[in-house]
Amino acid sequence: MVAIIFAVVLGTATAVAFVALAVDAFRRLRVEIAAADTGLGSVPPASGDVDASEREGFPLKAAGGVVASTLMLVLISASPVAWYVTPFLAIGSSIAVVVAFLLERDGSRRER
Amino acid sequence: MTDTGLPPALGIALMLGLGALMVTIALVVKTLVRTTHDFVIAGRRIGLGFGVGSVIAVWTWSMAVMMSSAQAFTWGTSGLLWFVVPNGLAVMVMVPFAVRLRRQMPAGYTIVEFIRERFRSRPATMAMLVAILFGLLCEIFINLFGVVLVMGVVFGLQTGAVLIITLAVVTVYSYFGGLWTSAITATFNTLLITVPAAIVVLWVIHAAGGAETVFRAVDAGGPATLSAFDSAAAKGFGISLALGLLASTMADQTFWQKVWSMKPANLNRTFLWAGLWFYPIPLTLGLLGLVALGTGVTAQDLGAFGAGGVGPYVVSHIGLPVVLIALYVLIILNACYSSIDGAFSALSSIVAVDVVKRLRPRVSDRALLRATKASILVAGVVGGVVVSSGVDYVQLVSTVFFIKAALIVPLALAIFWPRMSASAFTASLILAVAVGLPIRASVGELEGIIALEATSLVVAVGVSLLQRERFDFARLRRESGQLETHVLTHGHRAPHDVPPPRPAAAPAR
Repeated sequence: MVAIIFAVVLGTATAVAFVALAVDAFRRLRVEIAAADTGLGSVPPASGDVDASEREGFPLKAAGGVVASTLMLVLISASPVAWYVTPFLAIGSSIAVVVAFLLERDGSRRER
Repeated sequence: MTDTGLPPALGIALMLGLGALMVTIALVVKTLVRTTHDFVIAGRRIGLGFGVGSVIAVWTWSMAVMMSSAQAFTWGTSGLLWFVVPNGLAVMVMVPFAVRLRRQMPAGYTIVEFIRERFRSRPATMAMLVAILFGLLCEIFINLFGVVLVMGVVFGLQTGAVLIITLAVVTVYSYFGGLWTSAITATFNTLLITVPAAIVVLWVIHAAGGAETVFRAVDAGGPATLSAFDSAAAKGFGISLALGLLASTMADQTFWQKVWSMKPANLNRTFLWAGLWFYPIPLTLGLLGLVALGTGVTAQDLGAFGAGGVGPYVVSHIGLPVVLIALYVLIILNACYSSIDGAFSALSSIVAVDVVKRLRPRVSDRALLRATKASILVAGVVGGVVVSSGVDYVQLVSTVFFIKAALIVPLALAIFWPRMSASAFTASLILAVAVGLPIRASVGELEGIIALEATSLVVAVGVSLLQRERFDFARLRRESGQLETHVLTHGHRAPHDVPPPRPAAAPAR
């Protein structure tokens, strides 16, 4: 029961942050697009300035993901404790989106 | 199957209620859309937040959510491993292809467009167009099936009513705002999938007597149930599913549309994070299958719904409060709506760029936008007609995804290998299917997909080496896409009839 209460509290907090940051991101988008419409903002370059350095570490990170998910399954197979941990990782997925919004917001502040 | 006693009206209210929320978001979001370029590619402005959120949701298919429970119920944790691990990997594996293609063709819109520009071959382009369109329609069908399943198990709702309501709801809100609506509503879908999943599953475990009790009961069921590396699941479905899932991302315009819609700097991180943070969703919901094993649920209990219905069955029969059952149903609905909406958006981009713009290059942006939006309505109607026709669309979906797996090798080679030729692309597709399908029918799924991939590889490489062609990838590089030229030249969003940029001249061999 404790786990359920904790999940509800954490989930609610996550949801509040999620919605607030999503709305904030939408507002920034509208400003960005409005600026582009008036010719004051930059149109995002079609040319993909996809930094080559971004690719570094991809195999390691992808492999890490595979290892982590496999490890979770091994733990689920070995211990009932993992059955309580796994649902919190699902909330972690929304927390990851929250972090993504935060990084995006910080990035756009630095650009200004 | 035991009647849950839950009123069908509650199920309908959930479908319509979630739909109303999505429509509300869509009506706000549609203010971002002024042109077809905005509608199909979101002005290439999708940031990290909406990027990660939408890719997670669009990959969380309703059927996949229930299949994770089903595979855990059927095979134990090895079933969950073979279902979960390739699923997340399929998204992450997009990264090198996405980065490469975005760099080569920064102003692209669709993967069909890439094949057309890469090969300048009508057969290759048509084969890709047909495969992508069928794949998108099948994506819609399979998600509809997931909703039909959960509504049937929990509320006893008839197929026809569920299909009509679901399609109507998603078609309406997809119509407003295109990819912007898809990305933003899907992000909210991620929240509405993940947090409720955690709460519902924890409550189910509690209602079943706690994890220790269920764990001991599952363990007592046999040595294979809690053996993550048992080989039966790999042979039974795992390997063929893993290969099929790769095709589901690589040969899916839903993902390529995301690739070209994002701010370039976010590309790598978006797909990596989405793939990684997708994992907890099927892992969490897969636990329902293990709870079913531990509480003595049998195949007879599931009736005609089969193992796919085990998640909804456990949730609706273990004594949860109605609000939690409703929350679980909302998870499935969110997964369904986001995936169908993503498919609609992708399909509309194909129609705009690869059909209408090709047939009428001088079409005005206003007319193009109307046609693009209309394609979503048409796709909704086609989807409704097919799934309500009584045709075995599960079998249809399974076959189409098998065929799509033939695209993995030639598409990968087309992106990375300058010697890949148009003839090799077309021949490898045709021969791979010609060899793989009969073997699948006569021997088995695994043997069929191995034969398909092997044939695809041998033909693609062999024919290309014989033809000695070499493609200059610089030909793909344009500063602006064919739908955005008027934005750059005029600096504002007035719809103008601007002729498309002239294709680059073919280099002399």
